[in-house]
Amino acid sequence: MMARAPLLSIENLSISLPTADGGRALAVRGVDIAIGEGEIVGLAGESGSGKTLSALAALGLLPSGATTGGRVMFDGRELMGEGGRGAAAVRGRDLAMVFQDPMTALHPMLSVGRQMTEHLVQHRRIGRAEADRIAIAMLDRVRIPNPKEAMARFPHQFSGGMRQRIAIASALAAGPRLLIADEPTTALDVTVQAGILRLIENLRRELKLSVLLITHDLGVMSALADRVYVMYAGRVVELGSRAAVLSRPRHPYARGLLDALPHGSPADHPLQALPGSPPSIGRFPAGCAFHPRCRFAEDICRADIPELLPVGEGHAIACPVDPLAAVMA
Amino acid sequence: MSLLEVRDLYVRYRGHSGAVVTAVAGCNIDVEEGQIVALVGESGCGKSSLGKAAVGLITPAGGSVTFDGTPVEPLGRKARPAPQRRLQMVFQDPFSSLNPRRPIGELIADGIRVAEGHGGKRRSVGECLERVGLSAGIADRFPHQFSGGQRQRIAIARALAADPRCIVADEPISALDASAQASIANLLVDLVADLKVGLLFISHDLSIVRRIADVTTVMYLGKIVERAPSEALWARPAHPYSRGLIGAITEPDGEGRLPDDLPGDVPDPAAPPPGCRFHPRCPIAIPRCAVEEPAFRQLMPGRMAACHLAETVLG
Repeated sequence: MMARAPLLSIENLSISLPTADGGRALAVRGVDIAIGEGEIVGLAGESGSGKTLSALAALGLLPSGATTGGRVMFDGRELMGEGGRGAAAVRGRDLAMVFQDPMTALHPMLSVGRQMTEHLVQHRRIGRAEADRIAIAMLDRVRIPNPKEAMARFPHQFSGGMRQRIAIASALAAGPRLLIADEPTTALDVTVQAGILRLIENLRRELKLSVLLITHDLGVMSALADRVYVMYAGRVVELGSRAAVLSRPRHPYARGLLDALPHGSPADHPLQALPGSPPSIGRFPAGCAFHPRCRFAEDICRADIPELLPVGEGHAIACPVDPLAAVMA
Repeated sequence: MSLLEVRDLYVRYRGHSGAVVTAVAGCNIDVEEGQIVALVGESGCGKSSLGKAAVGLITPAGGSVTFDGTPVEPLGRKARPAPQRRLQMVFQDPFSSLNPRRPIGELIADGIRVAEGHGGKRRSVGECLERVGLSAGIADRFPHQFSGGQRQRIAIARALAADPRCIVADEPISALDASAQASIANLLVDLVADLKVGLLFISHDLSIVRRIADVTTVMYLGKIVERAPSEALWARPAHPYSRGLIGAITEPDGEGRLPDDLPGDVPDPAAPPPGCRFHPRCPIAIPRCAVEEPAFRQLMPGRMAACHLAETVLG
């Protein structure tokens, strides 16, 4: 899938967080993720799976008290790890992030123009007029009507969908090479979501932007991602091409998540609930963390943490039982 | 006469700037015994206001709500009249709808007292818990000890304890993890079939509604624009807005299809567009749509829509 060295690679990342009782808990446990240039990589999983934390580690935005292991490389430079000095400049210029709630990224008291250009002037060292020109062009690109007038307005004067467009424009104004989008459409209505998904796809095509798309919504994943990683309890349990993971999932968890979603015709795909709920950080079950919810679990699943092993071209799962092998073959 | 009848309902609010917003602008809805009727639409369309007015949580500005033959009175300081207590509501957020300081058994016992008050079937706390798939032995635990999906089951158990004939559920699964959504949706379908209650299921998610509702009602900017049997609406929508909503849905099938974009935003409900409220965003609008509001009319048995061009949309 990726011929050249990846633009971003997260290698053997682990993150531990302080717990309420003064101890520490591992929230991310040995995660490897690679993103190529112009590639959209999806990171799927339910709450507590560690998908957002993994992305925050790349950005250097982990909560205070978090400790990390492993390393994060960006275009040959170490962003996190032993040689991670000077990473802030790379992050500010080449990495950008869009959140679920655009108001977390937009300052409510600053005009759209002010917050977009301040960012530009700081990271690109250009004059105000030039910054204005770039910001207006970017607002136009994300289809904000009357971008010149929009510059003088404030975030609350826009609808939720428009705010997310502005947040994306703001994130992209400095010309980053990688956009990390954390549930960028989860708070939006489907018709607005459709517009944002099309926008991200266009930006990828036109700007060769790489995107790390974090979402629990496998429909959104299916619309955009080239490759998908499914996380559970701080580990990657399945990865592969979009088609492999979403139409032929091999890990029982990935399969269970899909079966719980309405898709296809109701007659062929009745809604099948996945029993139980995802474990919270600090309470990950031993062995394969999914085993208490897995109807295929065997003794080995309770004893050993399964390794990711290939099951096809670029397709790997962390499941020693691999109960779906026969069905999927 | 239907179990729950909403007729020409209006709900109005005074907005920030003093402008009056008509959130619900003359809507009709019928829910029959043992039937799931879905009310779908995007945020700000007025679906929650309609649901709240239907159970008497807000006072309508016009129109009527009748439950089991008697008018639903807006809730005041006095106790709800006994017949209305068989109309129950389940909310979106099971974290705020359950009192955190009381064990769940007590919360459910409140519902049982409601059933006693109207002479309904009396279930025990344990029966109610088991009916929603929880163990009878957890009655002394507190809401925070449960996951979101389990809390929503508890909220449903509380509603069931009151021996309801009709339940209005406002986005009951949208705050839950994906794996819990299916289980709560399946539970609601079972309960409706089993207990013959009516369910008004308010949701923004047309793909889940297609799975569980008998009838789907689509709302846009305060108005009902289409009503049809769920599968028929999905297969052949008659209103361009319904078609836009369906096209915007993403399918987790791994095929990489981008959803269809429905341009524009929902207009300010304080100043709805003239004519058909959807016309500024409608891909097939004709000049007539900007001046003449389309009537909500029958297209064929069971199919209603408010669009001048519904026959064309149906194809």
